[in-house]
This record gives sequence, C-alpha cells and structure tokens, in this order.
Amino acid sequence: MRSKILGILVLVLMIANLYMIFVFAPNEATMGVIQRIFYFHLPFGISSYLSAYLLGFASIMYLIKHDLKWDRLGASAGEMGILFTSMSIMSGALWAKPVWGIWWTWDARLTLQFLLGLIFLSYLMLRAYLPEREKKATLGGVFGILAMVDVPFNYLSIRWWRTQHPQPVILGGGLDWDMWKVMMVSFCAFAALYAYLLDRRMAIARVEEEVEYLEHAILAHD
Amino acid sequence: MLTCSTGAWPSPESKKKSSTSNTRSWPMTNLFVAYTLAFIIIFIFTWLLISRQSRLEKKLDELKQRLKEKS
Repeated sequence: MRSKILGILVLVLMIANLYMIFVFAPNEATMGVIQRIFYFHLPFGISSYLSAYLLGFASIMYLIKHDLKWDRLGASAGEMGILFTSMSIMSGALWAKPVWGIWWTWDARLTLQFLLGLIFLSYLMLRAYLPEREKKATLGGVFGILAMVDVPFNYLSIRWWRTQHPQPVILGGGLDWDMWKVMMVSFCAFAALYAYLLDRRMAIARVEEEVEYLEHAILAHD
Repeated sequence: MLTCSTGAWPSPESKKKSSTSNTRSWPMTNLFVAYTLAFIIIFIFTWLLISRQSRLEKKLDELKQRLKEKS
C-alpha cells in the first residue's frame, strides 16, 4: 500500500517537475538550454551523498548493535548509491561537453565523486563475495564508513581547491528565484523517488532474509 | 590545467537571443540524451526491483508450502 502511494506520488511530482524544467524555468544567459540538466544533476548528486550517509550510519549502527535490520538498510543504500552516483557522473559529463569542451577531467570534485562510486561498488562486490551474513555486514561496514568519510571532502572540494567544477550555487546565492522554484520541485520529486526505491529495496531485503531462514529450516528438517 | 569557471551563474536569459545558440546542436542533443537516459535507467532499476521482489515472494510461498508438507 505504502509502495503504491509513494509510486503515485513519484509519478505526479516527476510530471510536475518536467513541466517546471522545460516550460517554466527560464533559459540561462550564458549556457542556454544545456543548463537545464542542472535540475536533475544536482538531485542525483545529493541522492548519492544521502546514500553514502545512510550506508555509513547503517554500518556504524550494525557494528554497535549487531542487528541485521541495519545491514538491510546498508545494502539498500549501497545499491541506491551506485545508481545515483553513476547518474550524477553521466549527467555531469553530458553537461560538461558543450560547456567545457571535455567529457571529463580529473579535478577534485569529479575524482572524489568517481571514488564514491568505486566505494559503493566495492561494498556490493564484497557483500556478493562473502557467504556468511554476519561477516558480510561487519566487513561491508568498513566500506560504508569510508563512503560517509568521502562526502564532506567531495562537497567541500570546490571551496578548498581550484577545480573545473563550478562553485556552489544553492548556498552561494547565485540562483535566480524562478530557478529556485524549479529546483525545489525537483528536490521534492527526487525525495519521493528515493523514498519509493528505498522502500522497495528494503522490502526485498526482508523477503530475502525470510527465504534464507526457511531454506535453513527445510535443511534442518531433512 | 583548466581553471575553474567563476563567471556568472544561472540568471534569466536577456531578451536578445544569442545568434549562435540556435545553430549548435550539442546542447539540445545532450539535454535530450541526459533526460532520456536518466528516465530509462530509473525505469530499468525500478523494474528490476519489482521483478526481483515478485520472484522472491514466489520462492517464499514455495518454501512455506514445502515446510508445511514436511511438518
């Protein structure tokens, strides 16, 4: 039921979001239409940061409490992290080519975002490799904490170092009011999308655990 | 090394349109590709989640049935 409601909410908000992006949002003076990628690119980036923090938090909580529900949250956040990190890099590259003339550069922000993607990937690969649930959760937790550590360096890299990536806009006071409105709708749409996907993924994790438990129960019966 | 762009950030377009922006196809193509890819990837991810869940629920029902038969 909750999934269905979230799904409908995502659909409605995304349609409103697309209207705001392509009809309501003004054209940016220097970059023109390509700047409209911003309304997806920024939420992708923030979603990847959120995934890293969820994964880190879940990892710490598992290491303290040894409750497998935290491991379920971590695994779900890890998969979401890979998705949104890749999408932020993809949208960034498509924006960069017409504006900078290059698809990619190894500056601080881009490199740290790429590193974040590798951390998520390593986390999932480690979990796939280890057969025991507790070992999966404990060792995976280390990568989870690494992901969380990457985020502040990633976010502040454009302030600390000279980078190709532009300076902050949202907190830098450089966004036009109409563009702010579009950005707010985009944030709402992506918050709903994130909640929907996380809810779905957590439900899968719960069913996986039940399946594993029943398989062991049947084996024990035999 | 390329320096960071500290030029003007998003502001509404002036009434005079740039004469070159309409002739370059890169921005429009990239914009279209970015949004299309974004939606395709999100749909595929969602579809994979939904199909994974229904496969697991089917397996769960089968296992419950088997355990019921054994006990």
